[in-house]
Amino acid sequence: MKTLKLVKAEFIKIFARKSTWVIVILAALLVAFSFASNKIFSSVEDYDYYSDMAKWEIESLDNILSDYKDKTDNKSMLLVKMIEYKKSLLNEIKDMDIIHNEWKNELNSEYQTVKSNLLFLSLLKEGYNLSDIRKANELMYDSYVIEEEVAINYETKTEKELETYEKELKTKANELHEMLIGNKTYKDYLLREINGHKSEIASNSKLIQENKQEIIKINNKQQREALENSNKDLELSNERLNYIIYWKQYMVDKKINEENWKHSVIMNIIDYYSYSFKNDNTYTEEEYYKSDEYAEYRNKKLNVDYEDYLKIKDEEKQKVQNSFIKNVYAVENNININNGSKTILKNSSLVYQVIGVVSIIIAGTIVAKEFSTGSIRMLLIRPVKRWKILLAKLITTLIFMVILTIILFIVSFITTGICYGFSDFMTNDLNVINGKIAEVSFFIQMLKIYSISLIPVLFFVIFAFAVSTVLRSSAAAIALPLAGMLGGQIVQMLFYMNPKVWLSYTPIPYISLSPLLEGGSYADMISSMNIMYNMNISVLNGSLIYVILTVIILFITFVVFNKIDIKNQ
Amino acid sequence: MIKIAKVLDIKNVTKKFGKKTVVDNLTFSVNEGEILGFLGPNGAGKTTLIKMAMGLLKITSGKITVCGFDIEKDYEEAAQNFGGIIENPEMYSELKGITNIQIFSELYNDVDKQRIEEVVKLVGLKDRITDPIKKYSLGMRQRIGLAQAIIHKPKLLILDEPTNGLDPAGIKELRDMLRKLANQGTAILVSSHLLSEMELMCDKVCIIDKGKMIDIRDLKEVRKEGKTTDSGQTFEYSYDTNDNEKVFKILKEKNKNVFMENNEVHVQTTKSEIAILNRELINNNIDIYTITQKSKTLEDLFMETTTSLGKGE
Ligand SMILES: Nc1ncnc2c1ncn2[C@@H]1O[C@H](COP(=O)(O)OP(=O)(O)OP(=O)(O)O)[C@@H](O)[C@H]1O
Ligand SMILES: [Mg+2]
Repeated sequence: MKTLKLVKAEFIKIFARKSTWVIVILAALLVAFSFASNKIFSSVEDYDYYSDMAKWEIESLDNILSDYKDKTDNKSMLLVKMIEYKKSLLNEIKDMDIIHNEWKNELNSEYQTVKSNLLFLSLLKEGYNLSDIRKANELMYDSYVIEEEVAINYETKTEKELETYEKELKTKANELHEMLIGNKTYKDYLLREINGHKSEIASNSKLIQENKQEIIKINNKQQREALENSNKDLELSNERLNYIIYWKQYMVDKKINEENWKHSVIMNIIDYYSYSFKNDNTYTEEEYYKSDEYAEYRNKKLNVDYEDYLKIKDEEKQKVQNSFIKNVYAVENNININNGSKTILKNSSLVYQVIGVVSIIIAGTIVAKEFSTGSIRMLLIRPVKRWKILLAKLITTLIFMVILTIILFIVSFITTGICYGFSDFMTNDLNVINGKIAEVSFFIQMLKIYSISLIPVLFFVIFAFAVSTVLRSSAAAIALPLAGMLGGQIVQMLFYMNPKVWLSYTPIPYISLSPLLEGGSYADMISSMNIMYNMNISVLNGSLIYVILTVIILFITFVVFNKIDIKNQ
Repeated sequence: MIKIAKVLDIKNVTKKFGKKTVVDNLTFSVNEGEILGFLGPNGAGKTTLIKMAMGLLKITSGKITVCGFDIEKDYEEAAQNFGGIIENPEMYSELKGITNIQIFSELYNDVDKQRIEEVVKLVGLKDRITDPIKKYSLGMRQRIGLAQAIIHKPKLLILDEPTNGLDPAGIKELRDMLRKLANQGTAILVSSHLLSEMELMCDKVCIIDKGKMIDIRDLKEVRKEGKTTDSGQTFEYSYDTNDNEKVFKILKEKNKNVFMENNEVHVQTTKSEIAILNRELINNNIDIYTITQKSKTLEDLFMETTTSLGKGE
């Protein structure tokens, strides 16, 4: 009962100080600003990178041009020709508006290659030789990428064949030009892609048929097996292409453009899917021990045997598989997992640090200030045992931290909602457990993420409280834990760059826990790192370390506070 | 006489800071209804003892009880029975006076609103009680300090230099208030440097120096001394007459303990002897204007006991 009254009194004391209000309001503003800043500054980021690059390149070409323009020798004339041509190509980029149509980026490089090839072909026809062209290109800082193909074609093909080759190139250039400069949309691009895949499938199928006919005829077992294997690969490739077609068609049907969050999720799906194909070539035991990968482990003095290697591979596969499942589920069930308000709210670690800094300031002063003002004597002559007074102060600090967390969460929630929309919060969050999707209400997910992320913060707050009590100096009680919490993150980063086993028993890998959670920067490396280094890093173990340290620190604090003489200072 | 209960009992108490002994084997007690003055030069160990009595410092050896409760073993019960001020009563300066009192009073078993109002009125802070303490003057802080000390009607009141910063009226009010409390049965321990004040205020004084007990004396008896018939004790008398030189000569013949000071004749003798001397002087045709018996003040006592120790060092 008295402890409760003391807690109430502590709150009265904390909020009687203007400084408390100031730091809480500052913290709220900082958090609000950090969430709104992307929105506020987004117009600044929207500068046209591609046009700028083109402009810059034209300028540097002009510089070269001014040196050679008036020269009449053959080589200079060639250079001038090549520069002028390149300039016209670069000028076209400005009209493409790639910055708002990312899909044009790839087409553009294809277009540049085709157009370059056309130039080389005409230059060769005019009688320039390839080495001169190369030298000229060098003078213009290798603006062109020269493909051998043109030269080979020029030398090997008959005149007629060459004509058709040139025609083909021209048609392709025109078609690409139409895609890039005309008012084509992302949908047109997708349809073009789908057509490309379809023709690839058709040619693959044709090849498969031919191979099959061949197989029947061939008696040589080895040759037959080679063909069978190549057929297998072709079939797999077709399967993959069909899958990609499915998703691209999906985007066409659902009118999904590049700005839609589903676009990037679908791109991820395709990546994960393709990865699982590539990843099938796991080394056999013999191959593994001869591989560079193994050599590298040996270099680092790590003992990773074949079994470990398989485990690591397995983990990786599992991770990709989980992400794949999750992304597919997200698109099909319309749950934005990529850059909606939810994701923005989830991935901000600034909030935890702000909570930490403010709570550390409170924890660092709550005991030390009583000593520095001398009011501790007035407090400790009451009929309450000392440990109860200290406990009340600890409880007050913790309640303060909870209230602050709630306030800052509400601030982040509202700012994010205003900037990026509230509707996203109503959809559920996705967890993958044992290869199955589980939907979790967003708020429960947030509660979980906050609880885990705040474990180290809580530790540093209690540490501040302990220093405040034992050393009775606010300055030390604020500075030490702040250095630990903020500076510790650098040490933590160094640990993940170069792990040491004994450090895994300290709080260092866990200074900040949010990067260890799903989607965090360290999350993906932990499982393989654990196998390689024979460690056991996990959020659970980290929490355990903090619990043990907290118990020890609090025990010392209470014993000391119970024993000390309350002197003049 | 009724048996007087020891409210504060200090037995063989010693306090060491490291190797330095600051309080050295002190034993004394304060009874119900008694005001004990606690005297000693700066650094004598007064505050140190008071802090031990209120549980702020651990006792190195010995024992302190309040109303029979051991200050270390039964701290909560002991603390329920004492209240006090240690040096300057530093409270929460951002909070209103009344809030400070409320915060502390909630920690006692039975302090209601009425009692708080009563005490605020008693210490004379009624008009300023809703101001934050940082706006208080030194004397007002002393008063609010007193309020928190007596809010729960403690049986023992411990005041470390309570007159610090009080104006003369304030000091008189404090004196009257302490007397009233003592009359109601409260035991009071006051430390102060204002010896004349202590003389007026206290029933008993305890003088310490360098942590050691020098003297403990009942002031009632000191005051009574000289008012009654001859007890055989020697006092100092000074004469102012029309012919001091002659008086000195006469007394010198009769008694050896005579000297002149400030043009007055001083003589040390007993009560019955002085009556005889007076007659003698009148017989010698001396006009006596005044004759004063110089009683020993607390200051004399204090200076004698403490400085003599200082000199001896
Ligand atoms: N924390 C401490 N560590 C060491 N010595 C101390 C400590 N506190 C007090 N002392 C010493 O103990 C002695 C007694 O101090 P104390 O404050 O009890 O004196 P006091 O009688 O109250 O003096 P004053 O009349 O000046 O208030 C002093 O010599 C002082 O220097
Ligand atoms: Mg003192």
